[in-house]
Amino acid sequence: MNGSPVLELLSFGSAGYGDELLRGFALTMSLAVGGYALAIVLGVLLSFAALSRHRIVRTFWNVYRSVLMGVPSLLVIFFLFFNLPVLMQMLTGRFLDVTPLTAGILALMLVYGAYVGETVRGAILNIPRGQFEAGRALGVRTIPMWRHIILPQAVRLAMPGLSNIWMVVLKDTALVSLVGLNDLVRAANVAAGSTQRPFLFYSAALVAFLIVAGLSHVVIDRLDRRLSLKRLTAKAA
Amino acid sequence: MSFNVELAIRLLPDLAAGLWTTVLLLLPTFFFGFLLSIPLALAKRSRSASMRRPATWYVAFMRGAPQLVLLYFVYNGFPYLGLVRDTFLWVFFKEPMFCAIFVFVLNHAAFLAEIWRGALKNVPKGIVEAAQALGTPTWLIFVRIEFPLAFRIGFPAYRNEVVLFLKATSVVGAITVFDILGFAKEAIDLTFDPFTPLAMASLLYWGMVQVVQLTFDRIEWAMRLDRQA
Repeated sequence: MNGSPVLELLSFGSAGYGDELLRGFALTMSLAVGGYALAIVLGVLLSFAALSRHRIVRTFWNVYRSVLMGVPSLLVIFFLFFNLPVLMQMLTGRFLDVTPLTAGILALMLVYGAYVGETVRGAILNIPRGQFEAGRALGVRTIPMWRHIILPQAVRLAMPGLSNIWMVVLKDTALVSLVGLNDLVRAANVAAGSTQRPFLFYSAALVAFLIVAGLSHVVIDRLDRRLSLKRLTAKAA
Repeated sequence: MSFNVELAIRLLPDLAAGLWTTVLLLLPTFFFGFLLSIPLALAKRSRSASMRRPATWYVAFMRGAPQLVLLYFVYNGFPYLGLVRDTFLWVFFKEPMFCAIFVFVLNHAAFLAEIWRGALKNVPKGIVEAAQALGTPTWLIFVRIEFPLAFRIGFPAYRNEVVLFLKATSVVGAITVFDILGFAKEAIDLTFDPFTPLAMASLLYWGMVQVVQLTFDRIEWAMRLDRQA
Protein backbone atom coordinates (compact mmCIF):
# COMPACT_ATOMS: atom_id res chain seq x y z
CA MET A 1 0.00 0.00 0.00
CA ASN A 2 3.00 2.31 -0.44
CA GLY A 3 1.56 4.24 -3.37
CA SER A 4 2.30 7.78 -4.37
CA PRO A 5 1.91 10.55 -1.84
CA VAL A 6 -1.56 11.85 -1.21
CA LEU A 7 -1.04 15.21 -2.83
CA GLU A 8 0.15 13.68 -6.05
CA LEU A 9 -2.84 11.34 -6.21
CA LEU A 10 -5.26 14.21 -5.78
CA SER A 11 -3.38 16.49 -8.16
CA PHE A 12 -4.60 17.52 -11.58
CA GLY A 13 -3.20 16.14 -14.80
CA SER A 14 -2.16 12.65 -15.78
CA ALA A 15 -0.48 11.77 -12.49
CA GLY A 16 -3.41 12.44 -10.20
CA TYR A 17 -7.15 12.03 -10.11
CA GLY A 18 -7.97 15.60 -9.14
CA ASP A 19 -9.47 16.57 -12.49
CA GLU A 20 -11.53 13.37 -12.73
CA LEU A 21 -12.90 13.93 -9.25
CA LEU A 22 -13.67 17.57 -9.95
CA ARG A 23 -15.46 16.71 -13.19
CA GLY A 24 -17.40 14.03 -11.33
CA PHE A 25 -18.31 16.53 -8.66
CA ALA A 26 -19.57 19.00 -11.27
CA LEU A 27 -21.72 16.26 -12.77
CA THR A 28 -23.06 15.23 -9.36
CA MET A 29 -24.02 18.82 -8.63
CA SER A 30 -25.71 19.39 -11.99
CA LEU A 31 -27.64 16.15 -11.51
CA ALA A 32 -28.73 17.19 -8.04
CA VAL A 33 -29.67 20.75 -8.98
CA GLY A 34 -31.31 19.74 -12.27
CA GLY A 35 -33.21 16.82 -10.76
CA TYR A 36 -34.34 18.89 -7.79
CA ALA A 37 -35.50 21.85 -9.89
CA LEU A 38 -37.51 19.58 -12.19
CA ALA A 39 -38.92 17.71 -9.18
CA ILE A 40 -40.17 21.00 -7.73
CA VAL A 41 -41.92 21.91 -10.97
CA LEU A 42 -43.47 18.45 -11.33
CA GLY A 43 -44.31 18.33 -7.62
CA VAL A 44 -46.22 21.62 -7.68
CA LEU A 45 -48.23 20.40 -10.67
CA LEU A 46 -48.86 17.09 -8.89
CA SER A 47 -50.03 18.88 -5.75
CA PHE A 48 -52.67 20.60 -7.86
CA ALA A 49 -53.67 17.18 -9.15
CA ALA A 50 -53.86 15.93 -5.57
CA LEU A 51 -56.24 18.74 -4.64
CA SER A 52 -58.24 18.59 -7.83
CA ARG A 53 -62.01 18.57 -7.81
CA HIS A 54 -62.08 15.76 -10.33
CA ARG A 55 -61.96 12.31 -8.92
CA ILE A 56 -60.09 10.89 -11.89
CA VAL A 57 -57.24 13.39 -11.48
CA ARG A 58 -57.01 12.57 -7.78
CA THR A 59 -56.94 8.87 -8.58
CA PHE A 60 -54.06 9.48 -10.97
CA TRP A 61 -52.19 11.25 -8.18
CA ASN A 62 -52.86 8.45 -5.71
CA VAL A 63 -51.57 5.80 -8.08
CA TYR A 64 -48.56 7.90 -9.04
CA ARG A 65 -47.64 8.56 -5.43
CA SER A 66 -48.12 4.99 -4.35
CA VAL A 67 -45.95 3.61 -7.16
CA LEU A 68 -43.14 6.18 -7.11
CA MET A 69 -42.92 6.18 -3.32
CA GLY A 70 -43.24 2.41 -3.19
CA VAL A 71 -40.25 1.43 -5.32
CA PRO A 72 -36.55 2.26 -4.82
CA SER A 73 -35.21 5.19 -6.82
CA LEU A 74 -32.45 2.93 -8.13
CA LEU A 75 -35.15 0.78 -9.69
CA VAL A 76 -36.65 3.83 -11.38
CA ILE A 77 -33.21 4.77 -12.70
CA PHE A 78 -32.70 1.27 -14.11
CA PHE A 79 -36.20 1.29 -15.52
CA LEU A 80 -35.73 4.53 -17.43
CA PHE A 81 -32.22 3.65 -18.50
CA PHE A 82 -33.29 0.35 -20.05
CA ASN A 83 -36.81 1.21 -21.22
CA LEU A 84 -36.74 4.81 -22.39
CA PRO A 85 -34.99 4.01 -25.70
CA VAL A 86 -37.63 1.39 -26.49
CA LEU A 87 -40.44 3.65 -25.39
CA MET A 88 -39.14 6.56 -27.44
CA GLN A 89 -38.85 4.32 -30.46
CA MET A 90 -42.42 3.19 -30.01
CA LEU A 91 -43.60 6.78 -29.73
CA THR A 92 -41.52 8.54 -32.36
CA GLY A 93 -40.46 5.67 -34.61
CA ARG A 94 -36.84 6.71 -34.35
CA PHE A 95 -34.06 5.32 -32.21
CA LEU A 96 -33.02 7.71 -29.51
CA ASP A 97 -30.02 7.05 -27.36
CA VAL A 98 -30.85 7.69 -23.72
CA THR A 99 -27.77 8.79 -21.88
CA PRO A 100 -27.34 7.80 -18.24
CA LEU A 101 -27.54 11.52 -17.46
CA THR A 102 -31.04 11.82 -18.96
CA ALA A 103 -32.19 8.68 -17.21
CA GLY A 104 -30.74 9.94 -13.93
CA ILE A 105 -32.26 13.42 -14.04
CA LEU A 106 -35.64 12.09 -15.19
CA ALA A 107 -35.64 9.45 -12.46
CA LEU A 108 -34.85 12.02 -9.77
CA MET A 109 -37.59 14.25 -11.16
CA LEU A 110 -40.23 11.51 -11.22
CA VAL A 111 -39.41 10.08 -7.78
CA TYR A 112 -38.89 13.31 -5.89
CA GLY A 113 -41.73 15.00 -7.76
CA ALA A 114 -43.96 12.65 -5.80
CA TYR A 115 -42.36 13.69 -2.50
CA VAL A 116 -42.55 17.39 -3.41
CA GLY A 117 -46.18 16.90 -4.45
CA GLU A 118 -46.98 15.36 -1.08
CA THR A 119 -45.19 18.17 0.79
CA VAL A 120 -46.80 21.00 -1.18
CA ARG A 121 -50.20 19.35 -0.93
CA GLY A 122 -49.83 19.22 2.86
CA ALA A 123 -48.71 22.85 2.95
CA ILE A 124 -51.70 24.06 0.93
CA LEU A 125 -54.08 22.02 3.06
CA ASN A 126 -52.62 23.62 6.18
CA ILE A 127 -53.46 27.14 5.06
CA PRO A 128 -56.54 28.17 7.01
CA ARG A 129 -59.70 28.10 4.87
CA GLY A 130 -60.41 31.65 5.98
CA GLN A 131 -57.56 32.86 3.78
CA PHE A 132 -59.36 31.60 0.67
CA GLU A 133 -62.70 32.93 1.88
CA ALA A 134 -61.31 36.35 2.79
CA GLY A 135 -59.66 36.57 -0.60
CA ARG A 136 -62.87 35.68 -2.34
CA ALA A 137 -64.88 38.11 -0.20
CA LEU A 138 -62.50 40.89 -1.25
CA GLY A 139 -63.09 39.96 -4.88
CA VAL A 140 -59.56 38.66 -5.54
CA ARG A 141 -59.54 36.48 -8.64
CA THR A 142 -58.24 32.92 -8.66
CA ILE A 143 -54.79 33.53 -10.14
CA PRO A 144 -53.84 36.62 -8.10
CA MET A 145 -55.20 34.86 -5.04
CA TRP A 146 -52.85 31.90 -5.53
CA ARG A 147 -49.94 34.14 -6.44
CA HIS A 148 -50.25 36.68 -3.64
CA ILE A 149 -52.12 34.92 -0.85
CA ILE A 150 -51.91 31.14 -0.99
CA LEU A 151 -48.52 30.27 -2.49
CA PRO A 152 -46.42 32.66 -0.35
CA GLN A 153 -47.89 31.02 2.74
CA ALA A 154 -47.57 27.55 1.26
CA VAL A 155 -43.87 28.12 0.56
CA ARG A 156 -43.26 28.86 4.22
CA LEU A 157 -45.13 25.78 5.33
CA ALA A 158 -43.43 23.58 2.76
CA MET A 159 -39.90 24.81 3.46
CA PRO A 160 -38.82 22.17 6.02
CA GLY A 161 -40.11 19.34 3.82
CA LEU A 162 -38.53 20.76 0.69
CA SER A 163 -35.15 21.20 2.42
CA ASN A 164 -35.24 17.57 3.53
CA ILE A 165 -35.97 16.48 -0.02
CA TRP A 166 -32.98 18.45 -1.29
CA MET A 167 -30.70 16.60 1.12
CA VAL A 168 -32.05 13.25 -0.03
CA VAL A 169 -31.78 14.14 -3.73
CA LEU A 170 -28.17 15.18 -3.21
CA LYS A 171 -27.30 11.76 -1.78
CA ASP A 172 -29.39 9.86 -4.30
CA THR A 173 -27.33 11.21 -7.20
CA ALA A 174 -24.76 8.61 -6.12
CA LEU A 175 -27.04 5.89 -7.49
CA VAL A 176 -26.57 7.13 -11.04
CA SER A 177 -22.98 5.87 -10.94
CA LEU A 178 -24.49 2.37 -11.11
CA VAL A 179 -25.72 2.92 -14.69
CA GLY A 180 -22.27 4.10 -15.71
CA LEU A 181 -22.46 7.86 -15.28
CA ASN A 182 -19.11 9.38 -14.35
CA ASP A 183 -20.28 11.21 -11.29
CA LEU A 184 -18.22 11.87 -8.19
CA VAL A 185 -18.89 8.44 -6.70
CA ARG A 186 -17.86 6.57 -9.82
CA ALA A 187 -14.77 8.74 -10.25
CA ALA A 188 -13.80 7.97 -6.66
CA ASN A 189 -14.51 4.28 -7.17
CA VAL A 190 -12.39 4.08 -10.31
CA ALA A 191 -9.54 5.96 -8.65
CA ALA A 192 -9.78 3.78 -5.55
CA GLY A 193 -9.62 0.64 -7.64
CA SER A 194 -6.68 1.61 -9.81
CA THR A 195 -4.52 3.16 -7.08
CA GLN A 196 -5.34 0.70 -4.29
CA ARG A 197 -6.00 3.69 -2.04
CA PRO A 198 -9.71 3.25 -1.26
CA PHE A 199 -9.76 5.28 1.95
CA LEU A 200 -8.25 8.33 0.36
CA PHE A 201 -10.70 8.52 -2.53
CA TYR A 202 -13.87 7.44 -0.77
CA SER A 203 -13.07 9.92 1.99
CA ALA A 204 -12.61 12.63 -0.61
CA ALA A 205 -16.05 11.84 -2.04
CA LEU A 206 -17.62 11.73 1.44
CA VAL A 207 -16.03 15.04 2.39
CA ALA A 208 -17.40 16.64 -0.78
CA PHE A 209 -20.91 15.40 0.02
CA LEU A 210 -20.66 16.52 3.63
CA ILE A 211 -19.41 19.97 2.66
CA VAL A 212 -22.30 20.47 0.24
CA ALA A 213 -24.73 19.20 2.87
CA GLY A 214 -23.22 21.55 5.47
CA LEU A 215 -23.39 24.55 3.12
CA SER A 216 -26.97 23.64 2.26
CA HIS A 217 -27.83 23.69 5.96
CA VAL A 218 -26.42 27.21 6.26
CA VAL A 219 -28.44 28.41 3.27
CA ILE A 220 -31.60 26.68 4.52
CA ASP A 221 -31.25 28.26 7.96
CA ARG A 222 -30.90 31.68 6.32
CA LEU A 223 -33.97 31.10 4.17
CA ASP A 224 -35.88 29.85 7.19
CA ARG A 225 -35.08 33.00 9.10
CA ARG A 226 -35.98 35.13 6.12
CA LEU A 227 -39.33 33.47 5.73
CA SER A 228 -40.12 33.35 9.43
CA LEU A 229 -43.31 35.05 10.49
CA LYS A 230 -41.57 36.89 13.29
CA ARG A 231 -39.33 38.75 10.90
CA LEU A 232 -42.14 39.49 8.45
CA THR A 233 -44.44 40.90 11.08
CA ALA A 234 -41.57 42.92 12.57
CA LYS A 235 -40.96 44.46 9.17
CA ALA A 236 -44.63 45.27 8.70
CA ALA A 237 -44.86 46.95 12.10
CA MET B 1 -41.65 -3.20 -24.09
CA SER B 2 -44.33 -5.55 -22.93
CA PHE B 3 -44.96 -7.83 -20.03
CA ASN B 4 -43.85 -11.37 -20.74
CA VAL B 5 -45.89 -13.63 -18.50
CA GLU B 6 -43.88 -16.74 -19.27
CA LEU B 7 -40.63 -15.00 -18.37
CA ALA B 8 -42.25 -13.59 -15.24
CA ILE B 9 -43.09 -17.09 -14.06
CA ARG B 10 -39.61 -18.36 -14.84
CA LEU B 11 -38.17 -15.48 -12.82
CA LEU B 12 -40.16 -16.28 -9.70
CA PRO B 13 -37.60 -18.55 -7.96
CA ASP B 14 -34.78 -16.05 -8.50
CA LEU B 15 -36.88 -13.15 -7.31
CA ALA B 16 -37.93 -15.14 -4.26
CA ALA B 17 -34.25 -15.67 -3.47
CA GLY B 18 -33.72 -11.93 -3.93
CA LEU B 19 -36.63 -11.18 -1.66
CA TRP B 20 -35.13 -13.44 0.98
CA THR B 21 -31.82 -11.54 0.75
CA THR B 22 -33.63 -8.23 1.12
CA VAL B 23 -35.48 -9.51 4.18
CA LEU B 24 -32.24 -10.89 5.68
CA LEU B 25 -30.71 -7.43 5.23
CA LEU B 26 -33.65 -5.61 6.71
CA LEU B 27 -34.36 -7.57 9.87
CA PRO B 28 -30.97 -6.98 11.56
CA THR B 29 -30.96 -3.39 10.23
CA PHE B 30 -34.29 -2.59 11.84
CA PHE B 31 -33.55 -4.49 15.06
CA PHE B 32 -30.00 -3.38 15.82
CA GLY B 33 -30.52 0.04 14.28
CA PHE B 34 -33.36 0.65 16.71
CA LEU B 35 -31.37 -0.64 19.70
CA LEU B 36 -28.36 1.49 18.85
CA SER B 37 -30.41 4.61 18.16
CA ILE B 38 -31.63 5.01 21.74
CA PRO B 39 -28.23 5.38 23.45
CA LEU B 40 -27.23 7.61 20.53
CA ALA B 41 -30.23 9.87 21.09
CA LEU B 42 -29.44 9.96 24.81
CA ALA B 43 -25.83 10.88 24.07
CA LYS B 44 -27.01 13.64 21.74
CA ARG B 45 -29.09 15.26 24.46
CA SER B 46 -26.56 14.59 27.20
CA ARG B 47 -25.41 17.51 29.28
CA SER B 48 -21.77 16.51 29.05
CA ALA B 49 -20.11 17.75 25.89
CA SER B 50 -17.80 14.73 25.68
CA MET B 51 -20.89 12.58 25.13
CA ARG B 52 -22.85 15.03 23.05
CA ARG B 53 -20.17 16.10 20.62
CA PRO B 54 -19.14 12.71 19.21
CA ALA B 55 -22.77 11.65 18.93
CA THR B 56 -23.68 14.86 17.10
CA TRP B 57 -20.76 14.47 14.68
CA TYR B 58 -21.57 10.83 14.12
CA VAL B 59 -25.19 11.54 13.30
CA ALA B 60 -24.32 14.45 11.01
CA PHE B 61 -21.76 12.31 9.17
CA MET B 62 -24.09 9.36 8.71
CA ARG B 63 -27.01 11.48 7.59
CA GLY B 64 -24.96 13.39 5.03
CA ALA B 65 -23.14 10.48 3.41
CA PRO B 66 -24.66 8.48 0.53
CA GLN B 67 -25.14 4.86 1.54
CA LEU B 68 -23.47 3.70 -1.65
CA VAL B 69 -20.22 5.44 -0.71
CA LEU B 70 -20.39 4.02 2.80
CA LEU B 71 -20.85 0.55 1.33
CA TYR B 72 -17.83 0.99 -0.95
CA PHE B 73 -15.87 2.40 1.95
CA VAL B 74 -16.45 -0.67 4.09
CA TYR B 75 -16.49 -3.39 1.43
CA ASN B 76 -13.62 -2.12 -0.74
CA GLY B 77 -11.74 -0.22 1.95
CA PHE B 78 -11.74 -2.34 5.10
CA PRO B 79 -9.71 -5.21 3.57
CA TYR B 80 -6.79 -2.73 3.43
CA LEU B 81 -6.89 -2.28 7.20
CA GLY B 82 -4.49 -4.57 9.06
CA LEU B 83 -6.86 -4.53 11.99
CA VAL B 84 -9.55 -6.12 9.82
CA ARG B 85 -7.50 -8.19 7.40
CA ASP B 86 -5.29 -9.92 10.00
CA THR B 87 -7.73 -10.52 12.82
CA PHE B 88 -10.91 -12.49 13.41
CA LEU B 89 -12.82 -9.50 12.01
CA TRP B 90 -11.89 -10.69 8.55
CA VAL B 91 -14.27 -13.63 8.92
CA PHE B 92 -17.11 -11.10 8.95
CA PHE B 93 -15.93 -8.30 6.72
CA LYS B 94 -15.00 -10.57 3.83
CA GLU B 95 -18.73 -11.25 3.44
CA PRO B 96 -20.43 -8.55 1.38
CA MET B 97 -23.70 -9.34 3.16
CA PHE B 98 -22.12 -8.60 6.54
CA CYS B 99 -20.64 -5.34 5.21
CA ALA B 100 -24.06 -4.30 3.95
CA ILE B 101 -25.77 -5.05 7.28
CA PHE B 102 -22.95 -3.31 9.14
CA VAL B 103 -23.38 -0.12 7.09
CA PHE B 104 -27.17 -0.13 7.20
CA VAL B 105 -27.34 -0.68 10.97
CA LEU B 106 -24.93 2.21 11.65
CA ASN B 107 -26.75 4.41 9.15
CA HIS B 108 -30.26 3.57 10.30
CA ALA B 109 -29.33 4.18 13.94
CA ALA B 110 -28.16 7.70 13.12
CA PHE B 111 -31.40 8.60 11.35
CA LEU B 112 -33.50 7.15 14.18
CA ALA B 113 -31.41 8.88 16.86
CA GLU B 114 -32.27 12.21 15.28
CA ILE B 115 -35.97 11.31 15.37
CA TRP B 116 -35.91 10.25 19.04
CA ARG B 117 -33.92 13.32 20.02
CA GLY B 118 -36.52 15.61 18.51
CA ALA B 119 -39.36 13.57 19.99
CA LEU B 120 -37.83 13.48 23.48
CA LYS B 121 -37.60 17.27 23.39
CA ASN B 122 -41.34 17.40 22.82
CA VAL B 123 -42.32 15.20 25.76
CA PRO B 124 -44.11 17.52 28.20
CA LYS B 125 -41.70 18.48 30.99
CA GLY B 126 -44.40 18.37 33.65
CA ILE B 127 -44.86 14.62 33.27
CA VAL B 128 -41.17 13.95 33.86
CA GLU B 129 -41.09 16.36 36.79
CA ALA B 130 -44.13 14.74 38.33
CA ALA B 131 -42.41 11.35 38.13
CA GLN B 132 -39.26 12.83 39.67
CA ALA B 133 -41.30 14.32 42.48
CA LEU B 134 -42.68 10.88 43.19
CA GLY B 135 -39.12 9.63 43.57
CA THR B 136 -39.07 7.46 40.43
CA PRO B 137 -35.50 6.51 39.46
CA THR B 138 -34.25 8.29 36.34
CA TRP B 139 -33.85 5.11 34.28
CA LEU B 140 -37.36 4.00 35.13
CA ILE B 141 -38.75 7.39 34.13
CA PHE B 142 -37.02 6.98 30.79
CA VAL B 143 -38.12 3.40 30.19
CA ARG B 144 -41.71 3.72 31.35
CA ILE B 145 -42.63 7.35 30.69
CA GLU B 146 -40.28 9.40 28.53
CA PHE B 147 -39.43 6.94 25.80
CA PRO B 148 -42.93 5.50 25.30
CA LEU B 149 -44.24 9.04 24.86
CA ALA B 150 -41.36 10.02 22.59
CA PHE B 151 -41.96 6.89 20.54
CA ARG B 152 -45.53 7.98 19.91
CA ILE B 153 -44.43 11.49 18.94
CA GLY B 154 -41.71 10.20 16.62
CA PHE B 155 -43.82 7.39 15.21
CA PRO B 156 -44.76 8.95 11.84
CA ALA B 157 -41.14 9.91 11.19
CA TYR B 158 -40.02 6.43 12.27
CA ARG B 159 -42.42 4.85 9.81
CA ASN B 160 -41.02 6.99 6.98
CA GLU B 161 -37.49 6.03 7.89
CA VAL B 162 -38.32 2.31 7.84
CA VAL B 163 -39.85 2.60 4.37
CA LEU B 164 -36.85 4.61 3.15
CA PHE B 165 -34.42 1.97 4.40
CA LEU B 166 -36.44 -0.80 2.85
CA LYS B 167 -35.98 0.89 -0.51
CA ALA B 168 -32.40 1.94 0.20
CA THR B 169 -31.26 -1.68 0.52
CA SER B 170 -31.59 -1.94 -3.27
CA VAL B 171 -28.06 -0.50 -3.69
CA VAL B 172 -26.36 -3.60 -2.27
CA GLY B 173 -25.98 -4.96 -5.81
CA ALA B 174 -23.00 -2.60 -6.04
CA ILE B 175 -21.10 -4.77 -3.55
CA THR B 176 -22.18 -8.08 -5.15
CA VAL B 177 -25.09 -8.90 -2.86
CA PHE B 178 -27.96 -10.27 -4.95
CA ASP B 179 -31.20 -8.83 -3.64
CA ILE B 180 -34.48 -8.35 -5.53
CA LEU B 181 -33.08 -5.67 -7.81
CA GLY B 182 -29.84 -7.60 -8.26
CA PHE B 183 -31.65 -10.61 -9.66
CA ALA B 184 -33.86 -8.41 -11.83
CA LYS B 185 -30.78 -6.69 -13.26
CA GLU B 186 -29.18 -10.07 -13.98
CA ALA B 187 -32.36 -11.22 -15.72
CA ILE B 188 -32.22 -8.14 -17.99
CA ASP B 189 -28.64 -8.93 -18.95
CA LEU B 190 -29.51 -12.56 -19.72
CA THR B 191 -32.87 -12.19 -21.47
CA PHE B 192 -32.57 -8.71 -23.05
CA ASP B 193 -36.10 -8.06 -21.81
CA PRO B 194 -35.77 -4.69 -20.05
CA PHE B 195 -39.36 -4.55 -18.88
CA THR B 196 -40.60 -7.76 -17.28
CA PRO B 197 -37.88 -8.26 -14.63
CA LEU B 198 -38.11 -4.67 -13.45
CA ALA B 199 -41.90 -4.76 -13.43
CA MET B 200 -41.75 -7.86 -11.24
CA ALA B 201 -39.16 -6.26 -8.95
CA SER B 202 -41.32 -3.11 -8.66
CA LEU B 203 -44.26 -5.24 -7.67
CA LEU B 204 -42.24 -6.96 -4.94
CA TYR B 205 -40.87 -3.72 -3.49
CA TRP B 206 -44.26 -2.07 -3.69
CA GLY B 207 -45.83 -5.05 -1.92
CA MET B 208 -43.20 -4.94 0.82
CA VAL B 209 -43.80 -1.24 1.36
CA GLN B 210 -47.56 -1.90 1.65
CA VAL B 211 -46.89 -4.64 4.23
CA VAL B 212 -44.76 -2.24 6.26
CA GLN B 213 -47.43 0.46 6.05
CA LEU B 214 -50.15 -1.93 7.19
CA THR B 215 -47.96 -3.14 10.07
CA PHE B 216 -47.38 0.41 11.19
CA ASP B 217 -51.08 1.24 10.88
CA ARG B 218 -51.73 -1.72 13.15
CA ILE B 219 -49.10 -0.60 15.71
CA GLU B 220 -50.46 2.94 15.63
CA TRP B 221 -53.92 1.62 16.33
CA ALA B 222 -52.65 -0.54 19.19
CA MET B 223 -50.85 2.44 20.75
CA ARG B 224 -53.80 4.81 20.70
CA LEU B 225 -54.03 6.44 24.09
CA ASP B 226 -57.83 6.41 24.19
CA ARG B 227 -57.79 2.63 23.79
CA GLN B 228 -55.69 2.16 26.89
CA ALA B 229 -57.76 4.27 29.21
